[in-house]
Amino acid sequence: MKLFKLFLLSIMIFSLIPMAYARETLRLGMHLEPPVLDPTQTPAASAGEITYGNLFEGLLIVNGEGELQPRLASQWDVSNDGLIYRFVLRRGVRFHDNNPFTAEVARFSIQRMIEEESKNPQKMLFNNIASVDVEGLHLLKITLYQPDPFFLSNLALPAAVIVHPNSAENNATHPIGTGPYKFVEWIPKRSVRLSLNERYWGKKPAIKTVDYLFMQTSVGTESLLAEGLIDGLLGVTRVTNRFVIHPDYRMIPRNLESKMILAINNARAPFNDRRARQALAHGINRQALTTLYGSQFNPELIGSHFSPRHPAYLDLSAFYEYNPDKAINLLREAGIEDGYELKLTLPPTDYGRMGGLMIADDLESLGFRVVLEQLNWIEWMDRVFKQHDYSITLILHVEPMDINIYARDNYYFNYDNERFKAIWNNVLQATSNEELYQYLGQAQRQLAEDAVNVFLFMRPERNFMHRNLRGMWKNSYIPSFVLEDLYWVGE
Amino acid sequence: MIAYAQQAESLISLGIMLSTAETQHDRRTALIELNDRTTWIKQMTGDLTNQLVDEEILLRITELQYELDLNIRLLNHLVRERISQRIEPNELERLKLLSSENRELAGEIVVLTGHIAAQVRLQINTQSQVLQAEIKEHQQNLIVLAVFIVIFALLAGIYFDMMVVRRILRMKSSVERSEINVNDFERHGNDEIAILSKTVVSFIQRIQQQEAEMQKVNQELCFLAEHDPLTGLANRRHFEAAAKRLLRQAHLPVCVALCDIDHFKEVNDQRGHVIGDHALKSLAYTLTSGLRETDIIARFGGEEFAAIFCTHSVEDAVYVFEKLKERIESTPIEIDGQPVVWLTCSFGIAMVVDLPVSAESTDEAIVRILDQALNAADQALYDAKSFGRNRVCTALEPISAKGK
Repeated sequence: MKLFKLFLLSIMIFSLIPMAYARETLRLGMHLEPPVLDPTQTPAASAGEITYGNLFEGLLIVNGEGELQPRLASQWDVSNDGLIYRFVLRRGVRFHDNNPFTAEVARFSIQRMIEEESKNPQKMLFNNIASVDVEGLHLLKITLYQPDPFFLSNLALPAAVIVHPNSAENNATHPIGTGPYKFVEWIPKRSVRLSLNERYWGKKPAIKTVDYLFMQTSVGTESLLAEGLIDGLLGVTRVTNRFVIHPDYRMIPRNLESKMILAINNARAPFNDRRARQALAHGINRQALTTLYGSQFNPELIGSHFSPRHPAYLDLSAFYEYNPDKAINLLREAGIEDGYELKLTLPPTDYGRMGGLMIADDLESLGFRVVLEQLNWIEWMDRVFKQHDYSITLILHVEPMDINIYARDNYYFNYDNERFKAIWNNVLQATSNEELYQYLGQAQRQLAEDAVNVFLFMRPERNFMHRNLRGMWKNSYIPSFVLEDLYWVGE
Repeated sequence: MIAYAQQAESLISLGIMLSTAETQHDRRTALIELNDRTTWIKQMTGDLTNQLVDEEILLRITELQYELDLNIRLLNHLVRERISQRIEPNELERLKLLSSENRELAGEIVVLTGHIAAQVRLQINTQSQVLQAEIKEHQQNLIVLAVFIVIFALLAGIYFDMMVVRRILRMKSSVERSEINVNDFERHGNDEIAILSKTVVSFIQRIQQQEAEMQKVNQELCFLAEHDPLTGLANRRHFEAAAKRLLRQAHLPVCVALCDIDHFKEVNDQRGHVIGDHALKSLAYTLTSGLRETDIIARFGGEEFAAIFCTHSVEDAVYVFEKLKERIESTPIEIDGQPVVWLTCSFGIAMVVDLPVSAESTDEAIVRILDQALNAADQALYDAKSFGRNRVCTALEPISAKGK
């Protein structure tokens, strides 16, 4: 009898093995393909969305609750004058090619970010670093010129992840980091694959293989969603929105600060004239544009490049009311005649295609003859962002708290206003929150007055996910898709 | 793949929408939709190169797409001009030409993508048939494997049952038996259970050997406790126990007799203990041989002996002892064939009558009867000594077992 029971038990155990098996792969749709996979070398947020926290890690990270947490630095302290930061670095960390992570590597990585010829998209944020010194195998000292309230949170940005001197050169196409996932392959225009780093120093994630698929067309996106070929889509649009009724999908809220703007080349005629820009601000029907996301969303209008969730937010959404007549008058004042040919450059996204049509209509009713220019993302990054070869473009800025881009020289808006730079300098040197908020308010107002861009609205932040996928980071304000807590539940 | 052909089909209608657009808005909408689809179809076509699709057809589609892109760009430009009424008459002709060319190109793409879709569908069907056949084969293999595993498990179970469980159970029941027989155990084989069995057997044999030795010692001790070491006769305690049993079981009258050697002290004193002891042994032999085997005879101590047995009457008993008395006085005690001493004995007899005793009689009652009989026999022995020894005297009254 006992023997028979043993026999039954062994059969039961064998039959349980396939039941305990859970899915370990993931396919995520992305609207934009990054030009390179190294977030320290490109302003394209999609590089960070793929690699941040997954492939690359910084000294600090913004976790799923939106809190600043230690990552490759285990702890740190700050001198009383706020100028010297000492970081104790984590031991036993290795890059995917087995090179060890040391203070020397961290110093190289930060030095590379701030050096003269650096291509880092956030280089300006770190201009304040006076020196980086190795004080021990795992001890790093960073000295600032002046105290910086944003310094630590800046170190947690995708652009500040740590790279190794041996592999940094090739990170654009074959990234090597310290994170829980390593690079497998990149099929241009199609997908990037990451797989679990078995030797990761920290907690091992549940998902073993992840494919990021690039959605180049609305038709393609619809087709993939309809056939259930993707498990998640970063960001929703009206096209994807209708798939909410699909039983396999659900919408998950995110906490990003993505600002939709009609970016204007401030250096190119006719928009080097403030009145022409103000005409656009009056002439674009922002409220109508918000239908881009479908009826259940009511995107919040903005009047400057600033998130309404920030305590220093100033509501300038009514600074330029929708008034086509006023806009036409302003255009005439600026010497722009009826029938002026204007090229509207569009990125290869759903919002680009659909929003572009609506904006073209608005522009047309102001008397412009609109020419649409549809670019793929690499072309957009090159022509618009790098060469500044555009007049106006519809674009989403997903970086958190990035109003500082208006203080940068040679940024693609070509906005160059000493007054704004002075305000920003005050922001950086603010000694209290009160002072800080006051200067941030001035900065927002300055941008609105100058009508640098047409500030449209905050994108409704939702991700589109398979209903059985859990562990998504919801409250991180970093545009990222961190995989470490994701797992599948019963299928 | 169905979507691939369907989207290609929509190129035609979108091309017409573009050609016939009345407003810039309609034109742009058609343009954006067209671009979205051509991009997607290009992407899908690119994917197909990895599959088994006729390369020439793919090449032709790619060419057609290139031509179509160019056509759409020109068409878009001319339509825009037409809507804003800035078009020259000869360009209007060109627009018509482009429009029909657009339909042709899109139509050709539809035909070719439809062909590819059909081809791919056919391949998928073939593949799925192959797959299904494979799945079926795997299923069968799996079933065979499963059956094999189950049979193997059962056989393994049976083998285990035979080779282990049953043998252990057999050993257990052999050990539990009250009479352990070592032949019940396995004594051959070299596996662990056989070794264990052999160990148990040797252990049991050791225990049995020790038990036998203990029993022998015990028997010796029992004999020593109940017999007189000199003569080998029962001692008084054994006599009493046996007498009680006899009294309880007897249906005939019981004779209780005491015998004492006359002047034995003098034999001991004058001839020595060795002769005395020899005389005692000889006399014990004579007494034993003069009685029946079932009769009980004991040495009470010193030169006194007792006997108890069933008999028909006091006369029979007296006759037995008279015969014994005569034999003793006529037979000398011999050592190495030489007569060394002549002995005589006195006998006292008491009879117990009215037997059997009732079944309810207690031990005490039996002991009382025995004591009375022994006392009476002792009195009779005393009488025999008083009358000059070497004679048999009988108690005056028999002892009644009914306690009168």
